[in-house]
Amino acid sequence: MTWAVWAVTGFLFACGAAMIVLRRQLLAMLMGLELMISAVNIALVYYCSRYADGETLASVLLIIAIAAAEAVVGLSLILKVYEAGREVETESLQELKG
Amino acid sequence: MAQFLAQTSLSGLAPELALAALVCATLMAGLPASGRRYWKLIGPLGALCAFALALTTVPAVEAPGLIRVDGLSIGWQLLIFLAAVPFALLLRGEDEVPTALMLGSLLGMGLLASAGNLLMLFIGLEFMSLPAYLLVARGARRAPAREAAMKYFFAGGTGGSLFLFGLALYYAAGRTLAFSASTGPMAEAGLALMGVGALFKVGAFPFHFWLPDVYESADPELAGFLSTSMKAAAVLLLMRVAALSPHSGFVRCLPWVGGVTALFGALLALRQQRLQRLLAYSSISHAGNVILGVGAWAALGAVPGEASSIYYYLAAYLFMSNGAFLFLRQTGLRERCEVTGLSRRDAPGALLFAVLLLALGGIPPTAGFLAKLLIFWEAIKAAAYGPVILAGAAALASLGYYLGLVRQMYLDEPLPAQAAAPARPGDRFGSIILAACAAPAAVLGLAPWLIGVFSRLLSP
Amino acid sequence: MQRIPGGFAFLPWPVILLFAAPVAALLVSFFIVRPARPRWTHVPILASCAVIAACAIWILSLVLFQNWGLDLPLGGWMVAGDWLVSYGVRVDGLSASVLAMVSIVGGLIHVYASGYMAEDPGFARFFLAFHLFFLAMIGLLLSNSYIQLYLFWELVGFASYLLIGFWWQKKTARRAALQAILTNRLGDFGLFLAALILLAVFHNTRFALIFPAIVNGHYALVSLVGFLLFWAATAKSAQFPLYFWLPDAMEGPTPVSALMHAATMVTAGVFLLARSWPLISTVPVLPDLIAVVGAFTAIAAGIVACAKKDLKRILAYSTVSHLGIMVFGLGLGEVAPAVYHLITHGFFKAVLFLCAGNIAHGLHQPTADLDQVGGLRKKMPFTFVCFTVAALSLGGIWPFAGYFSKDAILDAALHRGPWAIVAGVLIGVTSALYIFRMLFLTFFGPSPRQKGGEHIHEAEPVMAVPVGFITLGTLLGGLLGHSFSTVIKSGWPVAQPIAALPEFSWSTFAVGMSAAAVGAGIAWVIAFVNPSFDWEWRTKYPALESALNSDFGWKPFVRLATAGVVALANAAGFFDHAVVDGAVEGAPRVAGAAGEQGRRLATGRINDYVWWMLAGAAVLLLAVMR
Repeated sequence: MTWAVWAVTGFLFACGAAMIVLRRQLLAMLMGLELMISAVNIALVYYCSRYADGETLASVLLIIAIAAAEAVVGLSLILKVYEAGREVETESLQELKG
Repeated sequence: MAQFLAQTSLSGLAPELALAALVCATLMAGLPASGRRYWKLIGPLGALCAFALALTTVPAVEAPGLIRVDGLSIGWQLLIFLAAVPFALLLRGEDEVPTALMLGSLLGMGLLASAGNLLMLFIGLEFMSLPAYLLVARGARRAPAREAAMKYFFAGGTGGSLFLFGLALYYAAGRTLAFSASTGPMAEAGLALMGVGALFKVGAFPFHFWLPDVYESADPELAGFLSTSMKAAAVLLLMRVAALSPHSGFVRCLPWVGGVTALFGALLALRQQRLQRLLAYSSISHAGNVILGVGAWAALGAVPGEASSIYYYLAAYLFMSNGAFLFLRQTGLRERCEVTGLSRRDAPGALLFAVLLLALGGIPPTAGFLAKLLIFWEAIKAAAYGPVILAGAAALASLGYYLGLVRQMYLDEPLPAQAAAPARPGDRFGSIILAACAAPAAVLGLAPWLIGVFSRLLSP
Repeated sequence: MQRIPGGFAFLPWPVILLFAAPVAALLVSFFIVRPARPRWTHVPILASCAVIAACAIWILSLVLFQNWGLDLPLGGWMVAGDWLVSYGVRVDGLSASVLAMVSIVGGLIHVYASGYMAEDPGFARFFLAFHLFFLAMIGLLLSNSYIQLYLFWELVGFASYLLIGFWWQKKTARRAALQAILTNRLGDFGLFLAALILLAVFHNTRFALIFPAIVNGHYALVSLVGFLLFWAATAKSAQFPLYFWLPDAMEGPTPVSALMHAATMVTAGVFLLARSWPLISTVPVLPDLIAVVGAFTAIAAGIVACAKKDLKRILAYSTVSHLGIMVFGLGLGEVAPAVYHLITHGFFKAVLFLCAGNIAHGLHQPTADLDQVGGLRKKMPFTFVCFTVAALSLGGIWPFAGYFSKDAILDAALHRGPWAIVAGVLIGVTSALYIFRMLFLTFFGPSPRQKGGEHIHEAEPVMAVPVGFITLGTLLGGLLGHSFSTVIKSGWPVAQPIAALPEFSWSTFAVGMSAAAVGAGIAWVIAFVNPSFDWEWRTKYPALESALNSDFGWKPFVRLATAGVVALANAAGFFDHAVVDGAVEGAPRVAGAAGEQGRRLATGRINDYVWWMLAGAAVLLLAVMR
């Protein structure tokens, strides 16, 4: 059973990572980020039921809250990019390099 | 619940509580037009207040399991809050939001320092990063600031996620979120991923790519804050992770990561033309040295009292980096070619910058020299000879740009267009703070007895 | 860290004055007198010489009559753990006696120089350098450790460089000065290495501590130290193979030649060997080697001296030869006779040089040639008398001082074996030969080939009187043999004492006097029976003359060796320039190129950044899981 949980977690995490690496739209990348965090939540929930550890469950809630905060910040940043009149894509964010 | 509340006293968190109160006050009180100039005071007042409170904090374990205030914690909080003072004093902002963001970030760093279990580490990490993303986005130069903030956000998010994944693995192996030593392949993997998260925040190769963009586009004083306060907090995070299991594979790899980072940062800084980007890569190189120190410290048993060399390095770097970025703020210099012949146009400024550059380069008797010496010494004690050689080569290479800049300022003739350029547009206040940063950078190298003081400070 | 007992409070006044007087005189002359009145630069210096001489004589009498001695460390120079390099003062019989000779002869030569150099534009500079040398020599004699002795040894060499090249406008003088200091450098390396080895083995270099330890114990490196010390002495005291700088050093003014390259500086090497005798005597083959080298040098130099025509060159080779005699005596194990000869040689060689200086000064030239003189005894009677006395002393004629010292060495040689006897006899013959040839050809005649020194006149009193006093010393030196034996034994650093001067022996007297007579007889023949012989044989046997001129081929060999070393240095220089400099200058370029390439990693796309992060995490994981 453990391996199944880790397989799911790993797969979702990899999907999320792939979305960040491969997608060009910033919103999609944000979704990938959220996916990664959620994937880890799955593993944590499984383990806290296995170890009967209520504290960890509370931690999962906190992590969800933090992920939400992160999403808020990310969206506000994407909004700022949009307001500046630029395309919400990674290609338009390539001025700083080297 | 009542028992929990009865057991809990939050006296160890006094600085954080004060900061939290100030953040709330700042945000909720709005901005009466008549009190506009007072907002400028809240930031530094908050930082100094936190610093003072941290000084008076006694080590304790609070809210059992969640908060642990030990010598490392207090020491690092002192460092972090002190490093924020220049930024707080020189913060440019039309409204109260940057002040609140800064205080919020400091709060997060304080939580990270006082973390008692792995989850608190994660919370502190995210708490301190989120305001930082927003601060970066509010830079004076709009477009680059937003781009850099975006990059910072995604890189930071990925790092945090990796940290979380590692946390889950470590929890699975150890059955607890508290700081514990676990063995086994899952624990090793978990530790490594948590380490990656920490390394990202510190700016190690190859997790550093966000750093030059962010430091280049941020306001110079913000870049100073990020390179000192934020980096110190990140180093503490790395130390906590490494201390979980001093004999793990991650700790074995850590010195090599440090050495490679140091060399990478130094080499890439050689051909940079934009000054803030150059300082960013130099910051990466210095971070490499610190990582090497952390690796050595962990390999030698992760004894808190022995972290004084890392502490000294961060303390010295606090002054050097803040000073360097403040200099750029004061003079408004952006490109490397603008520095040519500065000694003739602006002698005091050139002198201050030269002192800071020499300190960054590690020339005796500045603080930078003693700092590097101590780190290398610890690394040799931990038998990390290869990484020390890399870091030594990096130090040598770094002289190429530090001394190169000094030479440009003093020995080269100013280009005709620059000779007519106006003198510094900066303000007197900023210059005072700049001098206040440059002086310790120059002189601290003559005070090796500080090491003993730090050792006592850091021991529980 | 050991605290050193002692200090300046324990130093008696004469010893303090021995250093304080010359230092004060130098400072006053350099900073006050020379800028104000250059012509009076010598006044503080002459005063200092008087003080030095008085103190030296006082100290000698203390040693002689009260058996007084002193070995006082004054302070730590470099201290690390139990390693100790200190500076201090040592006064014992050896240093007191040599110091007395040096101070008396030196003081009188200072007076002589004030007349000889009176018309020279570099008058002030001369006296400053000359007195600096004097100070260094005193320091060398009174040193109580090898490192301190090395310091003054180098200082003496430096002063020699300044003074040989005094007339630096002359190319030959510059080259001679350079040759002197470079050759001495070669030898100094040996002394330095020896001092360092001793420091490494014993953790300090004080004579009083090392010699008893060496005699009582057995140390592997002491043999090497002995050979190195002899090498250093070879350079400073002009023995084969490093003697060749001394004849060319005659480019300096005559007072320099008289004091430094006859009486004092060159004897520093012999002094070093005498000082180190407790060490050298424990090394198996070394004393024999020293004796052989000394004898060989003495004979060969004596033969070459017979063929020279420049007055100062003859005396230079004579000095080499007599240093060889001293070294020969040391090698036979006779420390007292060797040092005695050192002292008497100081007196009579100084007289000879000063008389040659008088002649040259009278001719208004830097030096004189046998072609230009002849029959001077009528025109320069005082010089003639002094020269004759000194010549008799050099030739080893009883009852002059030189006889007693040479006799002692000859005595030892006669008891050693056939080769030593042959060497001793040959030495006696050759020294008598060249000095009497010089005496006869200069002061008698003139022969048809000589000009006879037209317009020459006797020296002025300021130059004549000092010569006279030194001549008195030459006369009286022979009487002091017994006292010398007492003095030299005082303060010997090891328990086993050195032997006194030998008693008078008829057989030695006979051998010595007959050898001298043979030499004098040959000189008589050359000068009077066939007055042109000295010029004719040069045209008849040009090969022989060129062989003698090139020191039997040694000088060309040295030139060849030097060329080889220079080629080696050029090769090393090329390597330094091409390889080392190339690497140093190429490294930044490589680093910069690497940096430039590295910058291309940062493409600016967030996706790439995150990709790098994940890849890095994966690599780290792999490394950790290994």
